[in-house]
Amino acid sequence: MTARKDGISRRESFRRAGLLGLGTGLPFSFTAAAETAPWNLASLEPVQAPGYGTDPDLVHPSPIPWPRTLTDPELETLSALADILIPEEGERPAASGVGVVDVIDEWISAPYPTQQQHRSLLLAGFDWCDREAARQSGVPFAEAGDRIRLQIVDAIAYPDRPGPAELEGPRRFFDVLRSLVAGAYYTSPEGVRELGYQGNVPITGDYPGPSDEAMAHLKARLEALGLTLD
Amino acid sequence: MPTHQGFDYDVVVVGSGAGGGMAAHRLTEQGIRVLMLEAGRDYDPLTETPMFHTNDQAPLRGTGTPDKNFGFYDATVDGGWQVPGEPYTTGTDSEFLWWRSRMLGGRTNHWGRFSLRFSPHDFKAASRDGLGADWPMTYEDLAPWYDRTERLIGVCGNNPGVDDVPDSSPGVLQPPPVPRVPELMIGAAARKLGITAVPMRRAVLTKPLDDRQACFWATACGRGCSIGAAFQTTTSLLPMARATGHLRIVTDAMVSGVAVNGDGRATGVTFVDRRTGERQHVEARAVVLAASACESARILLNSRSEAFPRGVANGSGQVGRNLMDSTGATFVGHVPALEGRPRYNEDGHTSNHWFLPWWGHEAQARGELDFPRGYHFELGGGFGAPGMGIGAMAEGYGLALKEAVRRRYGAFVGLSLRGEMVASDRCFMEIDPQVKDRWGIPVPRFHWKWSEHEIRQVAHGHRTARAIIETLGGEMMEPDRAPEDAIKKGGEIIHEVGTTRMGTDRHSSVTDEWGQTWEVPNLWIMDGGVFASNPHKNCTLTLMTLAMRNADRLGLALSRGRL
Ligand SMILES: Cc1cc2nc3c(=O)[nH]c(=O)nc-3n(C[C@H](O)[C@H](O)[C@H](O)COP(=O)(O)OP(=O)(O)OC[C@H]3O[C@@H](n4cnc5c(N)ncnc54)[C@H](O)[C@@H]3O)c2cc1C
Ligand code: SF4
Repeated sequence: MTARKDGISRRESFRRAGLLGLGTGLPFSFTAAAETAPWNLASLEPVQAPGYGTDPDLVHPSPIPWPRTLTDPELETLSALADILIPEEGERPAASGVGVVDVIDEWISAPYPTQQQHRSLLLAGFDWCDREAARQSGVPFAEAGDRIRLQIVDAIAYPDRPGPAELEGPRRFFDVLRSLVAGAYYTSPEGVRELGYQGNVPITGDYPGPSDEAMAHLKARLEALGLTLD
Repeated sequence: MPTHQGFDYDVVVVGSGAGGGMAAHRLTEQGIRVLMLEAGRDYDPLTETPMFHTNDQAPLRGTGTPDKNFGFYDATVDGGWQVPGEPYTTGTDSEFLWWRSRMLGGRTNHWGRFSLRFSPHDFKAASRDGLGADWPMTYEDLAPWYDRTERLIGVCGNNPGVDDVPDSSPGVLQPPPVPRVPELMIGAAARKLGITAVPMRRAVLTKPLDDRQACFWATACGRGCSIGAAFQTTTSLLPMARATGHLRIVTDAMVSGVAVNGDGRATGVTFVDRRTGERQHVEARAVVLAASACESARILLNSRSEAFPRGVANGSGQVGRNLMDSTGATFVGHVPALEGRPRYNEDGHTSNHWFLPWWGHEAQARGELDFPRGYHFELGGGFGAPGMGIGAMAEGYGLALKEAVRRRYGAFVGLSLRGEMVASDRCFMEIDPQVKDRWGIPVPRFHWKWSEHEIRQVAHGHRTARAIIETLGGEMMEPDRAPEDAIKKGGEIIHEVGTTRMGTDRHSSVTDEWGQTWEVPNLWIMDGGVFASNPHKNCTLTLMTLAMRNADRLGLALSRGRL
């Protein structure tokens, strides 16, 4: 990340422009807190399981060849965190309702380097969340009340805001977890529908191009930018 | 006449990809009988392509892994940046990536299908700036063959009247699809900066051709195309050649060397049967190498004998030299004006409908640019099928997170630079003196270093992309990234060419303008190895055009008994 002269990274200013003001509770509540649970990023024994190989059947994919590795308590912590990231929204299910927990279990159990890195980070993060919840309330994250859970999450959910050095690990964890949970949710049929993706259907004849509504929107935006289509 | 398992033939063609497929088609059409040896396994796009499969049906939501580098559904079989049991090495301080696949049809099963003709000025760049080598022929020599190739494989696009996109003859191209919102938007910003956006030319049918169907505007072409709309040899040239009755294909046949007799004639090739590990020799009246630029050079260099101590057809010492790829860099921007826009089906042919051809010839001629050759921008962005990366740039959680992901979906644009590098002494391949593959065949060792020319070109591309994104009121990601860092690795754009370059004399080149090696008259090269330079317009259309023209000449020579 590159720092600007005013000390704000570009990525940060980009994020602030897009997301500040969407009020998510108590974003800075933890920055002043003197102590938090320690962060233990242990190096784990690598997963020893087969990958799907360099010539898998693409049309009828076989079941995943590697076993899932998360324990029940880890799955509970993951599930609680996933549903904070992607909660129910009207008719739309929360993350755990569309199989996100299982996708992430599959993901971090895979014998590939990126996934193995994520495994270390996520296991350390689940452990930290549980110990932090226990420190504050005496029970693990999944059993803690909403107030405690959100307080913990608020402290680690905004990677570009200033934060204490001891939360660097947990914040990195949450950044990766968010990306995985959002990825798993928005690639599920429900998530795809929510985004309004309309492709992957065959069309006979010419490609129809943008709808009238999409063109009207484009023209208005171009006009505002002082640009024209021709 | 040589015989293999009851099949009589004249010519052995090594490789079934772009070059080999075209060679087999043009030879068999002339009545020449062809034995094709392909290292990969048999492959049938009709039954093996995951056409409408969605990411949630794939392991890891389809994300790329070391087993499948470009995603689970990418068509590549037993390959990618590494082929199991078949390594390659790099020299000190060199980074080079070599993409291969081990399947019938080679990399044509999953290539991008961008098919741009070279321009007249591309063939004579060395005369203009004194760097590298000219081509021994002119654009005018190739133009009719470009027409024939485009008509045969099916290319959609138009004649925009831009000097970097030469006209095809009337009626040759198929109609291009209309542009989509992000392309129109980038086009509008580019025009303000004096840069013209035009339809990309792609080897994708928009009208039916032979027994291939027109594109139905869904399913990523990198998976292959079971309806034959996206060109790949396995649904076009190979079935056509087979239908003549003059082609026999042997798959799992990994060629290790060319045999040459005392008269300097190729007598056949040796190959390893990948299923049994057994070595076999087949004879031939003529041999065509089209195993891809680096693999054909490897075969020549490995065919050492007393008569050819530096390898076959390497009297010039140029085999393996002049290795070129395209330069590449991708610049991404977030464009708020694209946020929250109305949804519609934006798949199109799942790749660029428009691109930005090189606009800088005149400025370059006036001496206003600090780098010698051109580049173009391929355009990305839109409402594609969501993948695991969709939440990568977000922050927070909960309904605010969801709202942000929805709003920003389709609001990122990408400009991918593809540029021309200049051949250099520092970019070449040779045979590694120690390392062998699982078949006992010595492997290539690559040497690579970008020069100032390429770095400055990428810096120019960076400034241009940033100007376009900012004209749209957008923000460029990684705006201060240094060009040395932004430029992709050698080989990473997968346009490697030049390792058996053509020329006008046997001292500085490996083949003549027809791909016929100077030293062994019945040994021809029909892949990108023969390129004299590597213009930024993705190499494969030109590679196939040369293969068609050269196979035509080889066929003629054989039928007249001249070889
Ligand atoms: C993802 C991707 C996108 C691309 N996009 C574009 C694009 O948009 N436009 C463009 O112009 N180019 C593109 N390319 C490059 C294009 O695929 C190649 O330029 C083209 O396929 C080269 O043709 P070829 O015949 O030389 O090699 P290939 O198509 O690779 O065919 C060579 C064949 O020879 C076989 N072979 C190798 N070694 C041996 C051996 N020792 N014995 C027997 N057989 C052997 C291989 O298995 C293979 O089947 C892309 C490539 C990739 C991977
Ligand atoms: S987009 Fe069109 S050409 Fe590409 S694979 Fe799908 S149907 Fe074939």
